Amino acid sequence: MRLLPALLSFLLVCSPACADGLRIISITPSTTEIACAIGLEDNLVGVSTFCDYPPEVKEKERVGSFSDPNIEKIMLLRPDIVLATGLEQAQAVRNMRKLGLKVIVVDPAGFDGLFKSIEGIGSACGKQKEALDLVKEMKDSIGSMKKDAKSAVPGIYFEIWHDPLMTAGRGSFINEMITLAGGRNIAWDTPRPYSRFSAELIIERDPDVIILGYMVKGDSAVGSVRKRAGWSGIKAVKESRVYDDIDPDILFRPGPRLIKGIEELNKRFYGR
Amino acid sequence: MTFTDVKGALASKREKAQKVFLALAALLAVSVFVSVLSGPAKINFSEPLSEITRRILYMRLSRTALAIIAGGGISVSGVILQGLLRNPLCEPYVLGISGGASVGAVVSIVIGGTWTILGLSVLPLWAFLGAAATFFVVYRIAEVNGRVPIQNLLLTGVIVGAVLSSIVVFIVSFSEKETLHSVMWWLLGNLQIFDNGLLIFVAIIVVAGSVAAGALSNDLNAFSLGEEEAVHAGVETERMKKVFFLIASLITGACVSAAGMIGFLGLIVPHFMRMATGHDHKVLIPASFLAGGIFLVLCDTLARTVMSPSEVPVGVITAVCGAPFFIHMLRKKSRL
Repeated sequence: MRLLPALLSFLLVCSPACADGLRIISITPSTTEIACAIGLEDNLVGVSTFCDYPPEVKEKERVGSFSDPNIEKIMLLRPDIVLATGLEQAQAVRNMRKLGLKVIVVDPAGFDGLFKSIEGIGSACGKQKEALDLVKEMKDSIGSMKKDAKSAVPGIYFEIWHDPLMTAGRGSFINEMITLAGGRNIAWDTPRPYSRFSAELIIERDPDVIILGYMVKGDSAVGSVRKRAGWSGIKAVKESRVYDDIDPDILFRPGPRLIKGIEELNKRFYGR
Repeated sequence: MTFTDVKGALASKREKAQKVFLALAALLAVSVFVSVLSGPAKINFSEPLSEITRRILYMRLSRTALAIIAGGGISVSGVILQGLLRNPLCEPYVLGISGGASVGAVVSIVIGGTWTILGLSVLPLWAFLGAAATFFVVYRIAEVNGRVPIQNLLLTGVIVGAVLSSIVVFIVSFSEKETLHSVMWWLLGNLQIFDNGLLIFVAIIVVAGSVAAGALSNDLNAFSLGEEEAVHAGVETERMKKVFFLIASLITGACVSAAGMIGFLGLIVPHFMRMATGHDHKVLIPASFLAGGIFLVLCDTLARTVMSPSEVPVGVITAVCGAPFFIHMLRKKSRL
């Protein structure tokens, strides 16, 4: 029986240590990006299998997938703070809190929420200044982007998925990003963030630019949009302004890199 | 009963069938008209049609065409399976065929790619192959000493279907969030079709299958009396079972591959038409095709207008509208 405490203390000593610092586990890719952007990279002792940015986090201990974090593994890593998101992780968050872990849930619905989340993580982890700096930097880049927009506001159709057609409506990051990048979302009147969208309205509203928010292996998704029956007359198709070359991670992950996403959108809306 | 009595009865039956067909044809024309004229985009017919309007109408037409074909096909498939298996709960999805189609679709989404074979995009093709492969698997398992007892076919189909659904769940649970969503969305059904090649492919299979089933309706009539009775009536039951099951599988596979899974239709339309036209498959098959087409065209019209500019999955509408109507008819019939 004496073996057990010995074994346990051995495990504790050997577990990846950040001797005097805060031990943080992040179980969503977006909070991992936020944590690294405000200088908490060395404090991360565990991440999810989906966390892949910045590339260094791939070396960190994995504590399960995004939708199914392994609570035992998390407990074993003795985190001071766990960073998580809402919805899919709500159950895991409840369980971890029951076990006495401090969990910060980050689930922003827009940029204002994102800024607050970044500041929240900063103040909980002793990086207030870094967080405020990051937020200011993000706000500055957004501000500078608006000035680029001189010509008429282009109509944008953002396709999240092709079968059935899914788009991002009011209340989504994508909708806000399109506006911030100087575009006008043609699905502005769709009341939900992610929803099916009527194909005939896309033709009627005749977007100037079509952005495909998914990547398909093999042939290009752009080609299949061009081939759609009835779509050849859409302005974006006629003028070859259908794009599938933006990394979906910088469009969909609510973290600091969304700014890059806005910049990429802006480039496509107003020519390179 | 004298000869003239029989002749009179047959004539009145034929007259009744003619009336039903006329009514269905008229209803189909009206529903196509309503469907093409309604949609979230406003169309002004007082002016000459603009380029955009023409394209919108074209898309509505192709969508309505798929609704007729898929609605008709799934209903005919339901008629065949209910007649063949003599089970009122049978519908095209119960025998694992749709499970095979979903596995095919999920595999295609996980593998990815938008390339085409013979002008068909890869996802419908995979779905169709999945459905066809399931037919052979189910048939092989159900076979005992060169015969396929109806009971075995039904049970095997249900079990294979359950296994296939767990395979879908397995693949989805180990794939990324985006895959999961795309599979879910695909399974919920969608009639907007952008691929004319696919539309023609599905139309050929559904029409050919329905015509073949109609031509073999005497055998199906014999089957619906019971397998033994069918043997006595001179039907080569083992061969015909295979033929009917294959026809139903191919039709279902084609419809699912283009439109996703649209539930309820294949169950209620055949029953409803049996109430209206009687049990003769010669009438029942074409009547169910027309009725299924009408029903799906109207449901799809609702699906794309009730929450415009969003669309509601059409399977939701078929169930929500179909169930109360069906229950009403069932109660009315039992009261008579």
